[in-house]
Amino acid sequence: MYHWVTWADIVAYSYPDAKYFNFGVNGGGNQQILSRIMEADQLYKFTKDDLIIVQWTNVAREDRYLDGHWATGGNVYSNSLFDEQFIKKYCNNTHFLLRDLAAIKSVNAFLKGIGCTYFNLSMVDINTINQYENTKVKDIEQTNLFETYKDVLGCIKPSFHSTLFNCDWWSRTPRPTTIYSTGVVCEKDPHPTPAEHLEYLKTVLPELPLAQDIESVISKVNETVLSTNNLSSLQVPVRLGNIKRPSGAMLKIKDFCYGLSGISGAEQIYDIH
Amino acid sequence: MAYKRFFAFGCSFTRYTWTTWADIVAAANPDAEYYNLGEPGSGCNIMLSRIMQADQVYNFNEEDLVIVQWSGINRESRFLKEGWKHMVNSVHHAFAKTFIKMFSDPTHSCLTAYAAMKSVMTLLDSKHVTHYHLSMIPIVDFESTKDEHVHFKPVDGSELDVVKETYKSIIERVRPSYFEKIWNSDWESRPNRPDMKHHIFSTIRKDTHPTPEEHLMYIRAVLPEVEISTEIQDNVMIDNKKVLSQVNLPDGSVKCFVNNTVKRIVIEDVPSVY
Repeated sequence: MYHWVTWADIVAYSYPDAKYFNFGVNGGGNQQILSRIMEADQLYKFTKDDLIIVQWTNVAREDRYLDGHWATGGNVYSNSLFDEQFIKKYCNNTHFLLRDLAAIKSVNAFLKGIGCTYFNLSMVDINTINQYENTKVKDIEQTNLFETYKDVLGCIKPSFHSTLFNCDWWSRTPRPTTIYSTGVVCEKDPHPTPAEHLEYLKTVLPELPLAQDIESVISKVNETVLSTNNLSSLQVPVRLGNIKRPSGAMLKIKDFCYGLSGISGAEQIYDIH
Repeated sequence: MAYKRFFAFGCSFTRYTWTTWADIVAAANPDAEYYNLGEPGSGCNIMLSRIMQADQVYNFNEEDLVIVQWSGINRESRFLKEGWKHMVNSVHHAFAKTFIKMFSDPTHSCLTAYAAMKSVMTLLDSKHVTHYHLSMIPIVDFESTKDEHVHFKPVDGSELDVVKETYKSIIERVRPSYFEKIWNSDWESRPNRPDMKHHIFSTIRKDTHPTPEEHLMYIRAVLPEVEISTEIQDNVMIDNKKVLSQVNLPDGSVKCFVNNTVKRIVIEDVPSVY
């Protein structure tokens, strides 16, 4: 989920008869992904006719549901929610791996049991603890864990970070500009552009056919993203074909759906018009 | 059914210095290899991690019996340099008050705990494992278990109600708790507590953990699927007598797991599971 077209929107565009749910959230970690998937199944009851794609993220993220919403600030090592003392006292990469490898296994066992079509993508390789410093696991405990979960990890497609960016987010140019709601301007936004999202899908998920006109559609969208000061809100003028991101008229599933993890995700259901 | 292996997960109500429900179930399944992978102080997140690791190592199957005793849902465990550390309740916790003040939120606890429970249940369902779910305290009611409260924030009832309604089908699969069944929702209600020497101050306190007899009462009340013979019941009462007749030490020396008929394989015996 980003303020321009992502891999998820490209897949949705390619399957216009499918109702499209996007439960992604900026900065969200794998714990929150597990929680939302389980909650989404409780609400929507996944079936074998569903296509479910999970894009796992950096393990060094910490999600806390606080005061009515998930506080998802991304990597703890570069996240204002957690100070140095917290990191020193409570952050341990083995802990992150123990937590996230269990989450990844849980979700895969769960989706296998549903009998649906499912795929695992990844933002960075799971063994890259700190994507900015490109820190890989080396600790013996962590290596043991990777061995224990070897078959589970084998289900995850290579990451955006390694496939497109050669493990350096700033290796590709040109980058789009984003203006965040705080007013901060990011002149070189490292998030994948729409074209990069398409390139990623074509590289790691060739088994998933995409719409015939996807190249030309994405090319136009990409041009817009690269030539605009993109605002980090949902109301950006970047739309993919007939997929409209709801702005003022977000869908709600039921009366109590406000601000609750997966339930708040329900506010982000995209309708295909 | 004769199980080949029995795996027990939980907190100190599962692995304690004396006989617990898990040992009683193990005694009732004498042909099953018995793994007690519980750990005092555990919260739901460590149980999820440990069960997933255990499945990776042991590959659960239809000949296994797995019983999970879920703990306080607002507990939180973190793996640090020294190993797992637990935030247990308002008195006993390994984390600073600032951590709890900043990050402890009842809705967070419910969302993560119920997701963990669903994850475990669906894994075991999909592998056709016989599995049951027990609980130490009610998994939906924060008010009745104030001792286990670590939250400084008020509980938002309406928000929690939505989460509980969402996970109703999961919550219903967890058997009533010790707190309700044995303690009648009042920790002070049970007399004749065993004596336990404090591990640091050497003072003697009344131990609130279930006695072997209370574990037996609980299993008979909530898990009729497990048949407990008269002989096992008698053995449990022998264990119980020992626990009540001495000052118990917290060093694990009490033992007498169902009158020395069962042997636990514990987490320290399984180096590949953290």
